[in-house]
Amino acid sequence: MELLTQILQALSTWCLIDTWMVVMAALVAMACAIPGSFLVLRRQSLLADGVSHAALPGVVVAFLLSGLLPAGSGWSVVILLAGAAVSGILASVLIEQLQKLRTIHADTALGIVFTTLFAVGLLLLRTLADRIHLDPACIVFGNLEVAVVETFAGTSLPIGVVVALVTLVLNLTCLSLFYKELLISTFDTVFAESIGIAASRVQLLLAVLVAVTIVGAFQTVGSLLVLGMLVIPPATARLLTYHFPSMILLSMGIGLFSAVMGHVLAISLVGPLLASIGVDGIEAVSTSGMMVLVASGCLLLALLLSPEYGALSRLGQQMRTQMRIAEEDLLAVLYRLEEAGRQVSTKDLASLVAESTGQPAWRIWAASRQLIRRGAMSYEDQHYVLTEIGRQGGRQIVRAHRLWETFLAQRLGLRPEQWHDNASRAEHYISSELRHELSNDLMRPDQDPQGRQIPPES
Amino acid sequence: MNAENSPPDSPLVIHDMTVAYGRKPVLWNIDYVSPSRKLIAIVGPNGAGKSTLLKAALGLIPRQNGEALFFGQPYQKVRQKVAYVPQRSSVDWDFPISALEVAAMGCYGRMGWFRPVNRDAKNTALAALEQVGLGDVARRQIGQLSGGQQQRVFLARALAQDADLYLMDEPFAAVDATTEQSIVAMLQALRDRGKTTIVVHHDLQTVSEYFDEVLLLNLRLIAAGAVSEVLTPQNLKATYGGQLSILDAVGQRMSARQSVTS
Repeated sequence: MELLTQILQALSTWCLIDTWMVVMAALVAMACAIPGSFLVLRRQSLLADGVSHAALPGVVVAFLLSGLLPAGSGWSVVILLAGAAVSGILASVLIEQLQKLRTIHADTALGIVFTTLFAVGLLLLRTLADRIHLDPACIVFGNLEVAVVETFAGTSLPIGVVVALVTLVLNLTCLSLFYKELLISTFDTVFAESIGIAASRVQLLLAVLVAVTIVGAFQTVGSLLVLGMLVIPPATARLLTYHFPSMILLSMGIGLFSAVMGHVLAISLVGPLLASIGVDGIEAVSTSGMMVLVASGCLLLALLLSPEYGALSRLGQQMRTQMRIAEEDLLAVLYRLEEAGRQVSTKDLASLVAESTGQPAWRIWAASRQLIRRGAMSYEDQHYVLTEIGRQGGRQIVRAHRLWETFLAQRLGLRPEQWHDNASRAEHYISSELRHELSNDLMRPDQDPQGRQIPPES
Repeated sequence: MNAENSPPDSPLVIHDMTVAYGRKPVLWNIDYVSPSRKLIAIVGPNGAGKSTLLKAALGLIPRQNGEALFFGQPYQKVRQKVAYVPQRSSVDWDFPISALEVAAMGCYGRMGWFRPVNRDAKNTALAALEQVGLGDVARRQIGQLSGGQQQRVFLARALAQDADLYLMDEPFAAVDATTEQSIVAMLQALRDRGKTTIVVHHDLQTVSEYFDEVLLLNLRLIAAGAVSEVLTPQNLKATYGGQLSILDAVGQRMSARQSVTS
């Protein structure tokens, strides 16, 4: 309760700066989601890492040029992004040329080009340190607080927000113009080439978008964490949808959410949380770090809850299968008893099923409840009786079992002691079409190799 | 018949084409003139260069020497008359995309850059999917389809291209017998509509049943022509026998730059 009050108190100090920070972070995060979606599907996440290094010389030169302009001019933004684009093009072309030598593998070529360009940028930065106001730490870690302070001359509009907006608009424009080229070249490069959509051109386009996006994000999240914003939201969206346009929209949404929640949590939660365990004096933590953490949190949730890949749904499916098998086992045992003209008490039946199938008692109990509810059997005078529905179900399982034993004996030549266990597993996966096919293949047998009758389908 | 005096309307003329990976030649001096309106198989052992022949003719991998003409023109000029079906294993089937969207890619070539995928393309794609019997799974994500259905999605994409020459890389690879039969029926229907199809095929047993013409390949062109004339014991021995190990050995040496005198 006290924590909540502290959180609310921290949030009550929210001011215009905070709003601008959230707006800028959100724009950057949404911009990142667009090229990021393609990187994730192309398995080129490493490219983003590389481009963030390779962009340095372009950024340094751009800063040098923009230093010649009056402070607070919009042109510096354009020059900065253009510098990034040129670096991205340069890096892509160099990599392609290196790969053409065929003596250097693609991943090695990436490593060489990106680090070399980064080194050039670093040397430039040191040489020109006196002439430009570019803090290396700011590039690597980002600095939202500072980024929103610098505004256009005579207005309260932060330059950084406009940079982020320009990046987002550029990405959206390119996405709508080149949607089908990006899509086809990502899905099926060879086919794309065959209809005249050159992979190298699409790769170049993507590299430029990545470079511009990364540079646009330098001040917000820094060149290290930008990789997280490029990759984590699309990777999360990938787990949640099978529809590509939805994947892009969803990653933008996750980016937006991470930006807003990241800043809110950074200024409100961490301070009080640490204070409650005795670490005082911390008011707020890095928004960029918290943004990426929130995105990672979303990914973790998706891993648990995704309908297709999620751990929970997989567990649920596994449990449903186990339950179906238990029900089928129960029906099959009842059918065999009926066949033999025997009737056993419910208690004996449970231990009989447990013994012959290895099913735990609780699942047998649950299966019997389920079968009664579905009208497959009824409870009469201390024992279970199959209804016509249940008898049909049991008959099909027993038929599958005995057909399969016949198949194992006749077609695979397995020894008699190998038949039963194998068939007990397989019987639950043999559909009516397969039973039909098996029966035809075995010349419609009416007895299994042990001389028991193979019941008809119905 | 050779390349110089071939009819100009031949769907595919390959003249003295040599292809190398690095320095190692994998196809030597191929000369081939394909007939029109026929179903043609490319047959040969593993590593014979069957897929490479198609890709190099299309310029998807560089040719070291020689040229390939489609309907008398370089490929760049007649792309829309040619449809290429890559191997099924060449793409990621987990990709978040539906069968309909893949089939619609067959229309991309006609549309040109900057143009969005329009309703026409979707209708064409749907019609093509219905033609291969996948109309009811058009909206499914491609990973949810069986191997045979995936192969038919690729064929539907080729149909949507509405080409005159179809080049298919192993369309029968890892499909069930039913799919194989339906693909064969589809190819024969294409031929009856006057189209030419060249198929990389791995099963020698079915060549005479499915195809009109065959091209025997093992690093070089052994023979090409009507199935009954080409599938002779000598030709098959030349294709599948060990005689070509010399060619391969020379290729190895070329790639290692070993001198002949050693």
